[in-house]
Amino acid sequence: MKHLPNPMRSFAKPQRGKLIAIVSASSAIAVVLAGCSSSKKSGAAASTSAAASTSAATGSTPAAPSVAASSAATGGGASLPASIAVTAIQDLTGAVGAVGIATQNGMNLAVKEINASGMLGSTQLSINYKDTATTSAQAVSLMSAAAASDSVAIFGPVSSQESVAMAPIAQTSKVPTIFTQSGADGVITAGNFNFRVTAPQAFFQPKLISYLSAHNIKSVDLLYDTDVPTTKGLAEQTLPPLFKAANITLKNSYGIQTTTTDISAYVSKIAGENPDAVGISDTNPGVSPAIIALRNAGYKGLIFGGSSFGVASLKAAGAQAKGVVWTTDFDPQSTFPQTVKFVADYKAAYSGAAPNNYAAEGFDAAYLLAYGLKDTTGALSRTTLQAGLTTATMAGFSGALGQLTFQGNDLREAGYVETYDGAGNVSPAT
Amino acid sequence: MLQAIADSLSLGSVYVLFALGLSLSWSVLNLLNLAYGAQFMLGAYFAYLVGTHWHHSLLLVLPVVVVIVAATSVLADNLVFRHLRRQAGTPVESELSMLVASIGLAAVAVTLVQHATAGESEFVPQTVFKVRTLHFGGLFRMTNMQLIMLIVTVVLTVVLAVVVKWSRFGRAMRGVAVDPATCELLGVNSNRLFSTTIAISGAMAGLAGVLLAIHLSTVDANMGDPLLTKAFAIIIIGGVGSIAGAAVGGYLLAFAETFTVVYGPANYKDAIAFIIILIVLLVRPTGLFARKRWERS
Amino acid sequence: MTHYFHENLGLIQQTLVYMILAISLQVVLRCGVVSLASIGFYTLGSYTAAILLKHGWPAALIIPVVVLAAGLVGYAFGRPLARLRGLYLAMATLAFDLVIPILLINGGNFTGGALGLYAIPVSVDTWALVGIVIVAVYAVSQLERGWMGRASLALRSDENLARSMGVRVTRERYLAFAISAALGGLAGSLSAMLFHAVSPSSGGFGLVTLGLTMAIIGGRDSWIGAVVGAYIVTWVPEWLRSIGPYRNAVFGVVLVLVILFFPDGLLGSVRKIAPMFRRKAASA
Repeated sequence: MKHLPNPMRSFAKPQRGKLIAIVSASSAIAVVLAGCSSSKKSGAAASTSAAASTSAATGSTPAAPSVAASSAATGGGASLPASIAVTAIQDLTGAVGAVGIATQNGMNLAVKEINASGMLGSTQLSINYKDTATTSAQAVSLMSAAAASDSVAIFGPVSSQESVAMAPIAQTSKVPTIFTQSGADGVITAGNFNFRVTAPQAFFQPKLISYLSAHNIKSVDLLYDTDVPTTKGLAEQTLPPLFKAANITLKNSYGIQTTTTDISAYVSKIAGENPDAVGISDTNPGVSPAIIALRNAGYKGLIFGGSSFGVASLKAAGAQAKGVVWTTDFDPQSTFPQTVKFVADYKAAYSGAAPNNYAAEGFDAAYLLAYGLKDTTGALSRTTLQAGLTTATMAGFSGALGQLTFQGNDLREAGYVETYDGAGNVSPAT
Repeated sequence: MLQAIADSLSLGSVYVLFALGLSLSWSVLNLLNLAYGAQFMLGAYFAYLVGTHWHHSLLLVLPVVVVIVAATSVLADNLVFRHLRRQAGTPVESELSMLVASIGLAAVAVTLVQHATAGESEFVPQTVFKVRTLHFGGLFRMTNMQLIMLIVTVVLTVVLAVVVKWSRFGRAMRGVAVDPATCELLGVNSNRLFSTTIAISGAMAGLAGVLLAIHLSTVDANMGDPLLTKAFAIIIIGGVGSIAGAAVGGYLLAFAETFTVVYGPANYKDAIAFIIILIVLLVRPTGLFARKRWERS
Repeated sequence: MTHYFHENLGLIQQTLVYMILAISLQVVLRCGVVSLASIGFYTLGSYTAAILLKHGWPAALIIPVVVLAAGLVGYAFGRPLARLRGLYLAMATLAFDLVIPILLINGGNFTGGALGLYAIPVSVDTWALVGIVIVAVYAVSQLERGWMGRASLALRSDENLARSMGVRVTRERYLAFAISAALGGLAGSLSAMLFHAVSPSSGGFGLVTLGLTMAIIGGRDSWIGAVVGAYIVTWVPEWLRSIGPYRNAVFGVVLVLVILFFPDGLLGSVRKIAPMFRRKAASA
């Protein structure tokens, strides 16, 4: 027999409610106090810096912790501590988890090499990863925690939405933060403590346009995600004027959402218009399905795209993706020595898996930090590191992506145009 | 124009095929199973796994996967839902606890698959089923899978509607949802009935998962979510308690969306879905075909 | 002490904001009104505050404006939706919650489109936040006492019986809607003032499940349950962080276990157990 709750009984003894409230409140306070007395810290701190930072933190604004100089001799103009641990806030799960994991792989490979090569003298670098689960709120709270911790630098996630929220925190807390992907404007404009090792996609488009012109493309349609800032910006702001300047007619742009499951209607329209080329600016799950749908609808023209294309996202389309081209910041078959070494080392480290551009970006981001550390003069602190990173970006360096040059804190690259042979192989497009 | 109609039918079949199992569970069992999207995704995922490792055709893969997903439903019911129903004080509490529990279960399934696929999207290999385009006299085209989905959807809708409305099993199902105690007196084992119905719902999730994975050429840990929200729209528009209503609602929504894309401001396609729901709920809250009027007012 | 505070500042602030969101849901669930609309008002409130902040309005003015506006709109919504019961209401309010991000994505430069609005100045300091949370929680706790409190519980158990006891059912429902909306708007505006950015993805289905979890885990019967729920939901993933990628799965399992074994929420179960100890003490 079901027992219905008696509404009257709960309020017969208000004192009991108060008792419970007091108990809960005091246990909460107890937990907080317990948390304080234990040496729990987010983002492992270098052992030498622990003492210095606790005494340095005052008031309501976390002061930039200064790391006590150890006597370890290192290369470069700074005396770096024996070990440096930095926090990486990355999208390891969630919608862009695959991108985050690839980036992480690249970063880990770089750190191993940096430590083994003695680039920082006897200093050992290590990274602590925190997962944002591709949620902005999580990313922001992780950022606040990392900024208040002893981490002398921070690696940011790949998602623009998270990065634009984190960049201001990096600036106000004066902690150098290195992002990859995160193509939105607000990341770099937030201030000079923010660095980015992925050139905004807008810079790759000229090469793509030249390719299209060279192949007699006179009209295009675009299919893109309206709820991803980078693809939206590309399709609505960057590409149209470039097409116009190259005398290519943009017939129509179709915006879908990352949640759109079936694009039959869009595909029918595009196939009906039959432009010379179709640009798909689509996040990963959507690229192959879009290509398959277009081909099934009878579209035979050229299909092009951006960084969401790659072996992983094209394999489902198989032979139907033969001949598609896209711009990317990474060419795995480039003969640039650093790239060749990176590809070989990555395959060796990850059981033969080939690296993608996200891994290359992560790799170079870690190296940027290393070069920044090397170029730091004086005792290592967040501010001196920021100066070191600025020096490193002005000089540029050779990375997995190629010869890297920066404009301010932002990477600049002309990119590559790649093509797919329908059988799992990527090669430069001619 | 004809192509737009063909695309609407295709899109509608995607929606309705997905929504049928959910509609069954909601109308008949009062269970708003938010794990349904995850079960659908499991169907797609197992289709990918079985297809990639054992290279069999659809005829073999489909029943295997359907049984697997139906089993997950029965498991969830035995371990969780049954006990929640017993504990609840009022029907609303029972529904709410099952709803919340289903959220937890969904999180488990999605996380495990996400980990297993390392966040990448996969696809069902062509050895399971080869998608081909069929041309109908130059007037319009559909792929063979789209045609299959359309036929399966229509057949299933009819069968389900008939069974729920007219068969003894269907009457028992509906009775259990309204008044389990009386049904027990009449000799109906309500727990077993619930299990059976939820197994059917799970089987349909699995079926939808396999077919849609092939049609959409993608298998992804989060693929259930957008369809789940669409399914809400369809069931509300069509009216709870009516399987046929859900089907009509689904095709109606698909037509609205497709024609918006083809002839109107394409960016507002999704907003249209939800605005339709709100309008239906406010103006005709019983939905277009609902039978259980008393529950709404 | 301060070191711990600063390291976890983001989390502490998040918990406080979520406490308000949790009680916004709890306030309606307690009456048996299964409205999830406060999440939509959270999103709307956060965007309104963000836009006003960018136009230079002071926080002290924005908060009451948003709360009042949300309350009025909530009351207006309460009228047509009052006819719906149980899960139908849940569905309608869920639809409301889900359509808002879509409208925001398509709002052009005004709403910042898919990216949302960022570089929002931090306009509330943590102590002010604590103060606001205390005020909100106190206000809700007062609603749970006395005649009004009993009326809302009666409403949940059996509406017709409540009506026969003299409870003005429809008016109670409108009020519950309005209060829930106002609290949701409050939580949202605070989040804009603390977390630098608002985006369409911060609302929607994810936040609905989060809010629901918070309200249910602690216990629907009182505000204490919601507060406890908010604390648990924000901090347990933090403790579980070492489990890495399986975090959400573990969380899901915990949710199911709580619902199974603590149907009145953790607090409700504590309340059930407490008299057993009293009785033992009395008979000893």
